[in-house]
Amino acid sequence: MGDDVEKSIGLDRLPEGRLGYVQQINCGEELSERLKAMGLLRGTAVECVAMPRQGRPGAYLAKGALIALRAADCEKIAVREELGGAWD
Amino acid sequence: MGLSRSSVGKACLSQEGKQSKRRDLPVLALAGRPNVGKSSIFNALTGLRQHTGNWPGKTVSKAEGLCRCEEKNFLLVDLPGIYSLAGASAEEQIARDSLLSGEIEGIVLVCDGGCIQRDLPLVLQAKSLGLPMLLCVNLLDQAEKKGIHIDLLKLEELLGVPVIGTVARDKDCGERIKARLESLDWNAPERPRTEMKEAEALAAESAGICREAVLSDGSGYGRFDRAVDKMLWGRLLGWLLMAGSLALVFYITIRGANLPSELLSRGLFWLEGRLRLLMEGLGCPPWLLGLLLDGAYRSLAWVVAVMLPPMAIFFPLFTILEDSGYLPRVAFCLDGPFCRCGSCGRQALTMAMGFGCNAAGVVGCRMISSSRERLMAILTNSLVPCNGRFPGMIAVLGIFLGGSWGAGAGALGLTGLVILAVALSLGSCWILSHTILKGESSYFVLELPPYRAPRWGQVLCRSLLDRTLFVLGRAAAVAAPAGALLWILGTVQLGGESLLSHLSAALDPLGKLLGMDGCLLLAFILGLPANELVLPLAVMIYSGAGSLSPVEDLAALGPLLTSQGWTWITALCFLFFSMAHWPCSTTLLTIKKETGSWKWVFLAAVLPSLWGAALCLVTKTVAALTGA
Repeated sequence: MGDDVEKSIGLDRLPEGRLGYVQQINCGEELSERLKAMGLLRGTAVECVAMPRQGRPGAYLAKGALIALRAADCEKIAVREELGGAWD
Repeated sequence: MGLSRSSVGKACLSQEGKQSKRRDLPVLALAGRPNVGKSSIFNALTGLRQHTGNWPGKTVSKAEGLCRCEEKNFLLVDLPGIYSLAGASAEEQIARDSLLSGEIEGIVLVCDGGCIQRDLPLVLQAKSLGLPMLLCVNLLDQAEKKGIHIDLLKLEELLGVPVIGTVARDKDCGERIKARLESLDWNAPERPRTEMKEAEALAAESAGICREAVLSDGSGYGRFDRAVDKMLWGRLLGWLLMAGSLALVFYITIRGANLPSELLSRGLFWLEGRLRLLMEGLGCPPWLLGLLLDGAYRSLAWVVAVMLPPMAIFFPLFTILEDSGYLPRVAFCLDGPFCRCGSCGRQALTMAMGFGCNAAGVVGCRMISSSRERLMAILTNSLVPCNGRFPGMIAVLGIFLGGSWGAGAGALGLTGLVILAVALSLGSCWILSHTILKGESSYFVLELPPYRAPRWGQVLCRSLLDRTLFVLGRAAAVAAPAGALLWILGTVQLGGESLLSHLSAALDPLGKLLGMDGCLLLAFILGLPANELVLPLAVMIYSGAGSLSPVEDLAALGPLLTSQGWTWITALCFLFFSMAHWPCSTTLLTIKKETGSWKWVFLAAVLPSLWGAALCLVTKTVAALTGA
């Protein structure tokens, strides 16, 4: 399992290819509901497939679904990054 | 042995005879989530006809049966279906207690190949018990149908547990599992039981294993998708691919539509001749012949001949792009620019719909949740040239750009115009979001579906029936009465000139100002019911005829236009104005329906017209200054 040290960051800062667990979603109610319906909620494991870059949204894999989210929205989603990368 | 009280459930455990027999045999537990075909595997291994049902929790209590292999026999205990070994439900407790009781010497765990990521946490939990274990990845046939391919050897390597792939309905499935069971090392020293991990960690580990061992082109996100997406999301390559696929679609459309268009027009005008003979035979007065045949029928024939072939090619191509999962990626890539202009990437999707039909694009704007952004997308949708405008633009491009009907040059020219249209939409959004529709861009969330091979049957059915025929039907319904009206305008004389000539003369100064002429401007105005009529109308007004000329003259269009004083500047202005002018009446009515206000309808008509006029003015001025 590697290192056990964990820290909480915005989803927008989760590096590509890394896993994080959603800790808190501080988006507006509407977006939070949408995300929930898409399977993205507290405790969900999220893999960053593409970081948001130069205005382009980021792409995140959660429960088998690929979801595109803007950096501004990602900032409001706190994730705990899984350090050590046991499964890479 | 049938399904009876003595053959299933706890009753059979308490039977004396079996109890003694059982002591000699190693006991295997059959475990798995409900509905993974566990009972079928139990039957295949024991020969028991335990009834299998298609609902969760079928096996409520433990059932057991004798599993006879070549050299070794096992007692198989069917545990209730469970989602997790950490769960608190009655079934999960029974399963956990059984597994931890010490009586069980091995586990046969069944999981569903179709959603293996969901089942892997249970596998990992079971593995941590330290017992010998065999994993049956069941329902492989259904997984294949879903486009999920599981690398069983890789899975075995990653899990450190023997894995066998099964299709429970196969006859030899039981024998294969038995053979594998026997080959396991039953005398190996027991592995220590390890601590069960938290649900989060298990889920993450499962995801990691799946990434390595599961290749999915159906419902998951496999290596292929990853590779393609990585390529698409590269800045330069992504843009090039987008423009390239657009150009390719146009090329195939232009190239493929020529021949069928010609055949259709010949057929339709042959039919017109027959109809004329028939009506004359019936003694119809000339005015009725003119109204119905020269007016209504000929407009209809123009629309069908010019519009049907490109649509029948364009719509399926477009549906293929949609079905393959590429279009959402386009929206994803375009979100950045749209966001900066105060809108969102979903607008790219509604714009793409607009290529087919602006009215459809306006309706599609419902997918945009923010009402401000939705309104922007509706107002700018008609800047994207629709299928009704493509044929005219293609014809003019062919005459003035390719020399002959150069499909490649035409496609490139059209792609350039479409890119300009996208830029105009972005500019409009920026202006709108800084004036009457002030506000910040809201959120953007979009699910990017996995890539998949298009389902051809569905593509053809959906694009031809739902789109092509629908759009054509609507255009035809408008074209026929409009044709009749035009015939009246062209035939009724006032002071020696037809009404049409009067109108075009009145519009001539404005038309000239815009780099065109009065005839062309009048054609744009009269083309309000259906944009595909604009060029045929212009030809009709130029030739001073009371009706549209037969479509067969399409090839002779070039000389006719040049004889009317068309230069490449006129052509360019025509192209710009085709792209950016008021939407057709259907689209306007749709906007009224969607926004509920004539104010927005008015703006939706004025906004693109202003762009078009500005482009034409600039073109004409630049041309005049450079002396071209």
